[in-house]
Amino acid sequence: MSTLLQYNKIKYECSCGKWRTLSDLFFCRHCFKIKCDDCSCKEIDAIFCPRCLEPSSAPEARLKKHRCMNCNDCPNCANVLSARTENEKCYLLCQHCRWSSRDGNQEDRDNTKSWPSKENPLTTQLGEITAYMKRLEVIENAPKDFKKGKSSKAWSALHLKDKFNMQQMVEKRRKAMVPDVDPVKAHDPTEAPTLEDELKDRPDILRTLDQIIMQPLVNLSEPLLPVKVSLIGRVLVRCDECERTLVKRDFGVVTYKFKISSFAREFVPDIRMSRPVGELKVGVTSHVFLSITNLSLSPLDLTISPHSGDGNIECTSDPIKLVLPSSRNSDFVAPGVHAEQSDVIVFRQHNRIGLRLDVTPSEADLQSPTLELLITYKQDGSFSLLAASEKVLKPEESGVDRLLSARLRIDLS
Amino acid sequence: MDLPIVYYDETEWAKTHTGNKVNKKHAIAGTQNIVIAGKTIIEEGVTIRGDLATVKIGKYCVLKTKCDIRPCLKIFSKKPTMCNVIIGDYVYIEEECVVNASQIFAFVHLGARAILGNGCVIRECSRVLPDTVVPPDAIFPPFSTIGGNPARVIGAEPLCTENLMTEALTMYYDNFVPQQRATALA
Repeated sequence: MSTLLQYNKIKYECSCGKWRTLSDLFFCRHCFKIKCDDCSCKEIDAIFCPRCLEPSSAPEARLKKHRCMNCNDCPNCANVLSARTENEKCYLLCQHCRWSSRDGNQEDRDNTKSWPSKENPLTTQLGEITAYMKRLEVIENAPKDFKKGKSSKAWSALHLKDKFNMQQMVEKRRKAMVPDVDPVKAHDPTEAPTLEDELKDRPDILRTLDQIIMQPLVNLSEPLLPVKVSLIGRVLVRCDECERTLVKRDFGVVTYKFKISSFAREFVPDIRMSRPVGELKVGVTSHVFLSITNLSLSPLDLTISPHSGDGNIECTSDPIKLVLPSSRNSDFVAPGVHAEQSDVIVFRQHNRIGLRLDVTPSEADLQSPTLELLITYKQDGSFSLLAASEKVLKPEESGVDRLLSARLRIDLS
Repeated sequence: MDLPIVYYDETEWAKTHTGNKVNKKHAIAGTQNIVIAGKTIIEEGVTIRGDLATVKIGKYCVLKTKCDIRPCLKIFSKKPTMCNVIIGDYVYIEEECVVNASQIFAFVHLGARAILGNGCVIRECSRVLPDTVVPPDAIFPPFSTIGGNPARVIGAEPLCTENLMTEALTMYYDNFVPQQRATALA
C-alpha cells in the first residue's frame, strides 16, 4: 500500500546514514535512534514451508536438508505442482507449463508425498571419507589434549607407573582404544570428458540456468524430477546497539500480527505529500503541500526547518513550530497557530496538519528536485509511558523528554 | 501522497445500509450468494459470479473498474465443484483484475490487470504487482511481493503493511463522496 500513498517519494535518513522510506524503518525506543534493515540484527524466528505453511524446528529442517518433504515445485518453471488422480493413483502436474511427473519418467504413486529426488551417487563414499578424517583428527589432537591436561582416560593411563602390575592391561586397553587408521581407498581416476563428447551427447533442448540451479545433480541426459520446495525463515529484528527486540511476530508461522513492534511510523512524525506538485519553473516560486500525521501515543511538539543548498531545492519558508495532538486525544485543541492565522498551515484535522511550503527551483534543481527538511520533535512522556517497566529499574533516567530529530528528502519530480 | 477526494454521481451509484457503494453498471450475478461486510466500493463494470458459488467480501475493500471475481473450480475424484471465494478486509483490487482465487486474505493489494489463477491463495499483507499472472493452486505466505509470469515471490512488503492498508483504504472510503454533498459543503 506504500505505492498507493506514494511513500517511495519521501526518504528519511536512518541513523546509519542511509535513506529509506518511513515504512521500512524501525525505531529503537531505548537508544532513541531510527534503525533500518541494514543496521539492525536479524535472527531466524521460525522455519516453515511456503507452500503448506507447515512449521519445522531447526534440527528437523537440517535433517530434511531444508526442504519440505510434501510439497513439490515444477522443475521447468518453479511453480506449484498439483496432484491429479487417475485410476486411484496420483501424479503431479504443473498447471502453468503442463509438465507432469510422467514426463520425468516417474510412475504414478499411491500418495502425493515423498517423490524421489536425485541423490549424489557418491554419498556413501563421501561418508566413509568424512569418518576417516574424523578418526585422523582424534589421533592428531590426542597429544595436544594430553599436554593441556584434558586427555581422555585411555591416554592418561599410559603414564601410570607399573606400581600395581597393571601395565599389561592398560597397554591392551590402549591398543583397543586407538582408532584404526585404515586409509580409505582412493578414487580411481576417471577420464575427463572432452568438449567434443559433451557436444555430441547434448540434447537439442538446453536447460535454463534456473532449472540447473534447482537440480544441480541431474545431468542433461536425465529427465528432470519434481523439486522439493525449500523452506523459508521468518525473522525477528533486534537493535544492533542495545540488542532489544524491535519486531517480533506472534505465535504461529503465518500470522501477520506482532507481539512486539516498534515501527518508525509510530514514533517519528509521518510526512506525506498532500497534493501533487505543479510544474517547476526556474526562478518561479511554487507551492509544495505536505501533510504531517502524528501516529504516536502522545502529543508531538515539533519544529520543521527546510534545508536549502547542497543540491537541494531552495525553500523560502521560515521554520515552523507547532504542536500535533496524538490520535488518542485528537479532540483536544492543540495550542499554537491556527489554520486561519497562518499562511503556512493549510488545515488542521485531528492528528493531521497540512502545510504549504514555498520553493524556488534553480537551473541545477530541475533534473532531480529534492526538498530537504529537518524535523526536531519532542514527545510528551511517550517514552516514559512505553518503558514504564524499565523506569522502575532505572529511576534516574525518568522525567526528561528527549529532543529528537529526523532528516528527510522529498522527491518533487 | 494523500488520496484525492473523488466525487461520484449519486444517480449512478447505490448505497446500502452497511455503507457499501455499488455502481449500477455492474455485472453482478446471484446476489443472494454474495456477502459484503460493509463500506466496500464496487466500481463500474465489475463482474461477481455469485451464481456459481458463494462470494464473501470483507469490509473497506475497493474493487476498481472491470474487475472479474469468480469462484474457482476444484476437481475432486467424483465430480468437479465450484468453491467459495473469500476476500478479506482492506483488500484493494485495481482495474481489470481477474480473480479466480479461492482465498485472498486481509490487507492485500492487487495491481492492475493481475490474473489470479484457479484456486490460488494469497495470505495477508501481500502485494501482487501489475500484470502478474499467478498460476493455479499457488500459495503465497504473508508479506510477500508477488510478480512475474508465472508469478513468484520477488520481495518482501514492509512489516507495517497492516497499518498502511488500513489508513489508505479508510481514507479512500472517506474521500469517496457524492457530488451533491460535495457541492452542498462548498
